This record gives sequence, structure tokens and C-alpha cells, in this order.
Amino acid sequence: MNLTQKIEKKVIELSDSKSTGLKDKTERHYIRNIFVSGLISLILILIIVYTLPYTILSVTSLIEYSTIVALIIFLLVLLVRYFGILVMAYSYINEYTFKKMTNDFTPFVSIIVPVYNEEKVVAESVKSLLNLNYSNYEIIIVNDGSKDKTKEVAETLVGYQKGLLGNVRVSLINKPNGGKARALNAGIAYSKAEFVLCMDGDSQLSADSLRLGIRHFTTKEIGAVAGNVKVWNRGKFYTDLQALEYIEGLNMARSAQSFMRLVNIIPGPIGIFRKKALEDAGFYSADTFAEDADITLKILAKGWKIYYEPNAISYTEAPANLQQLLKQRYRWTRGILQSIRKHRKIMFNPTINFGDTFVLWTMFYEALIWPAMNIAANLFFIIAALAFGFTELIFFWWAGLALLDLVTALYCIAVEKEEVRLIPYAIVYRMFFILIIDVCKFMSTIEEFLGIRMTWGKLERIGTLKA
Amino acid sequence: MELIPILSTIILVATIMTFILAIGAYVLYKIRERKGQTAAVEYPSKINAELVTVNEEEPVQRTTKVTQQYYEAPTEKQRQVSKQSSFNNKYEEDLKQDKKFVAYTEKAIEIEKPNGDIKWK
Repeated sequence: MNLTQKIEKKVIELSDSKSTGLKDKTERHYIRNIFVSGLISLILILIIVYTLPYTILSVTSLIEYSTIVALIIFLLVLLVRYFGILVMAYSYINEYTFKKMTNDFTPFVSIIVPVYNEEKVVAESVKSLLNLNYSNYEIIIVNDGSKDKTKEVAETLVGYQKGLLGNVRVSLINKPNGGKARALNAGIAYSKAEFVLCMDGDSQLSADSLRLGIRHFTTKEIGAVAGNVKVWNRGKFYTDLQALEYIEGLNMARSAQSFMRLVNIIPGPIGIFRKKALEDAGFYSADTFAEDADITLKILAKGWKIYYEPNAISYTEAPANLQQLLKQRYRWTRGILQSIRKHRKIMFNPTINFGDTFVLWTMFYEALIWPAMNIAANLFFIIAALAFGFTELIFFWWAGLALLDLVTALYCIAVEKEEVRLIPYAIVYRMFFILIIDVCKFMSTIEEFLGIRMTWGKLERIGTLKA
Repeated sequence: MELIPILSTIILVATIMTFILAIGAYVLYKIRERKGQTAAVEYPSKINAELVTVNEEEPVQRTTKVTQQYYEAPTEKQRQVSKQSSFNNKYEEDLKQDKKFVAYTEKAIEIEKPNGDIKWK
């Protein structure tokens, strides 16, 4: 079959949406932060030192008791968190399984593919989009000033391409480099559809992802649908651990959040949006390093609900070595903290939007409190073993957590019909993987607090994704 | 020897090593990142971008396959138009026949013999 089509090139003007809220901090601000927190800590220490003689406690016993109390609180919080998430995730899966949903809703959808130096994977990504089991969509590639041959590769894809259920129009926008948020905004501005699917240039969608994701928009209050991200390049130690983390940590939490229609992060590799919800939220902002977390919080703040579709799958290439992994997590942590800081007004005022306040506090807990607690607990057991000879304590601590992780991994893998071989990774998951990630999160939090400047840091892609 | 003390020692060593690895990798990452850092650039409020796209209309599909023509029942309007046009056609046909007859007879007497008699064609 021959397709006669005329490719046109024209210049369009893009306006940058003004960022709201997050201002660049000056050096004076950071010094003030450090001074205020130092002063509060000093006052607390002085209160303890001066009031201690009036109690029956000595300094050593105070440290011992406070550590034990902290550990009990940590264990309690951990168990409540785990079982809370498990119960809600289970309720969600039940609801999802037995809910009658229509498959006749097929509005026109624009798929926005932002690319920056993705010459190795952009063609495969677009090929995966042409295999979508959906008849009414277009593809808009946004080349964000790539320095490699992404532009040339993308230009060969422009035109009407043969899709699974008909011809699919592929367009390309070449713009100067300005970050993922601006690239997505350019694509959304050009799109004439009522719904847009935003994804990463290095991800690939499963054939049913759009068809299954779009049906939730028949409910009028749903503003966005989050998809399920899976690791594609498995088979290596770090990527297998991340595959388990995505299934056990991220997707299970997302299922639990979806039970309340309050998903806290629509993942970058797959998110379907009602354009009206994006307009209400003021589109993507380029003032944080986690534009996906930021847009989610903005959509929730406007009263829209967000659902999770576990069968709308996006396959992504996970970092294959420790350096790349740290780079990714450093950006995630600082980006999430920036988003929380940007929405702090809602965080401290639940009357504006209670759902958003709840989401912000859970994000704050996961990003800041949880890593600090985990590091403190591990340090306590190391000190207890080395200084006081309580070596066995660390075993029971590890055994308890590993058992909990194993049970959770078993449940999640059964629900998602995933690879059983990933289950044994749960044994080293908490003691090794989570500890490394938490140290990175903790250091990133300190850097964010001190306001140390950061850059986007592009992850290196090997190009293992094949449609 | 009991199993728990051995496992405890293994886990203790593994945890300490993980701590060292995590902090070391983080420091190394920061050193590497610092080398590639560039100054932040102010982004203009309006920029020009190049749009590469295809015509609005869907492309013509050229195929050697013979396409099946399906019967579609005409609408009421189409039926009325068709009725009207068939009436018009019939009228025009009749008129043509009449004219033909007239032409035949008129032309027939046009040709005269030199002696004045009518010559039938």
C-alpha cells in the first residue's frame, strides 16, 4: 500500500507557562534556615540538660530509653504503613476486578513523546505506539533540542504511519532545549484532543494501555489516570531489584492510593490526562525536578480525582549501575521535596483540600521521615552490636523485615502475574537496596535543605527496548 | 556452632559494608556531577519552534485490490431527487423524439426539385 502525503515544515511560537510559587532561594535564606534549625536544636538540648537532674534518669539511661522508644515507634509505624497499604491495595484490586467498565469510550487522544538525546530508542518507542489497540489517536514527538541525531531519526517517522487499526498521524516539534516540562507543554499546546497521554521518549507502551486507561474518563471527576511502570531491562542485579521495587513498592502503593482516588505521583513513563484538568492545574511547571509529582499535586489541589490502571503498562529502561541509580534517585528525592515545598500552603491548611493535604503529608513521610528512621534504626543495631555486644539483635530485626518483605513480594507478584524468580530478591531488598536508596535520599534532603544547586542529569540509555 | 550468631555476624558485616558503599557511591556521584555542571540559563517567555507535520487530510490509499461496492438504501431526499430527475429525463427524451419527428418532416420538405416538386429525403 502506498501512502501519498505531503510533509510540511513551519515555524510556530511557543509561550512558556509562568511557574508559580517556587522562588529561587538566596544565600541569605539558607543561612537563616541553618541558623534557625541550629538554634531550635540548641534550645532542646539545653532543656534536656537542665531538666534531667530533676528526673530519675541519667544521661546514659536517657539515650537507652529514647532509642528503645524510637525503635518501637519505628516498628509500629512500619507495621501500620505496611498493613494499611496492603489492605487498601487489596480492596482496590477487588474493586477493579469486579467493576463493570465500558470499552466503547474511544475519544481522540494525542500521545506526547518528549525526547532529548534519544536517537537509540525513539524509533522503537514510536513503533510501540503504532501497535496500540486503539483507533483514534495521533503521536506528537517533541524534540527538546537534542544534541545527537534524534531530530533526523524523528523526521523519518513524520507523516501518516500504518497503525494496528488504521493510519496514525505522526508530527514532530523541534524546539530549543528547555526541559521535559516545557517539551510536554509544547506538545499539549499543539494537540487539539480532549485527552493527552504523556510518556517518556525511552518508554514503550503495551498494546492495551490506551484503550484500558481511557475508559476511566467516563467518570466526570477523574482528571488523570496513572499507568503501571515496569522495568524492561531485567536480568542484572540492580535492574532485578528495581523490577521488584516497582512491583512491590511503587505499584502496590499506587493501588492503595487509587482506592481513595488520590494517586500521589502520575509516573512520567505513562500518564493520561483530561486536558481540562491540565488547564485547571496550569500545565507542567519547570520549577521542580519532579514535574510529574508537581502536576499531580496541582491536579489534586483543583479537586480532580486520579485513578490507577494496572493494565496500562509502560516498559522503561532502569539504571543498570549504582551511579546511574543514585543519579535518578537524587533527582526524584529533590524534585519531590521541591514539589512539597511548593504546595506547603495546602500541607498546613487541610481546609483548602483535605485529600491533597493527606497526600502531601504521606509524601513528606516517605521522602524525609522514613529514610531518616531506617538509617537511624540500622545505625542503632550496628552500635548495639559493636559497642555492647548485642549482635543477635540485628538478625531478628533483619529476619522480621525480610519476612514482611517476602510476604508482600509474594502477594504483589501474584496479583501482577509477574516473574516468580524476583521473590528471593526480597531477602536482600531491605538490608542492601533500600539502605543505599535511603542514604541517597537522606543526603539529597540535606542538599535540598542547604539549597545546593543541581542539574537535570540525563540517564545514559543503552537502547535495549525493542518493539 | 549455632546458626543465629553466624547469620547475625554476616548481616552485621553486610549492613556496615552497605553503609560504606552507599556513602562512597554518593560522594563519587557528587564528584562526577560537579565536573559536568553548567550555569543555569534564563529561559525566554516566548520561543520559536519548528513544526514538522503532514497535511490535514488522510492520505490516498492506492491499491490494486478491487473494492467491493455495497448497496446502500437511498434516503427519502435522494429518492425524491431521483424521482424528479427520472421524470425530467423522460420529459427531455420525449421532447427529443418530438423534435426528431419535427426535424424529419421539416427537413424533408426543405429540399425541392428544380421543377418545384417536393422531394422526400
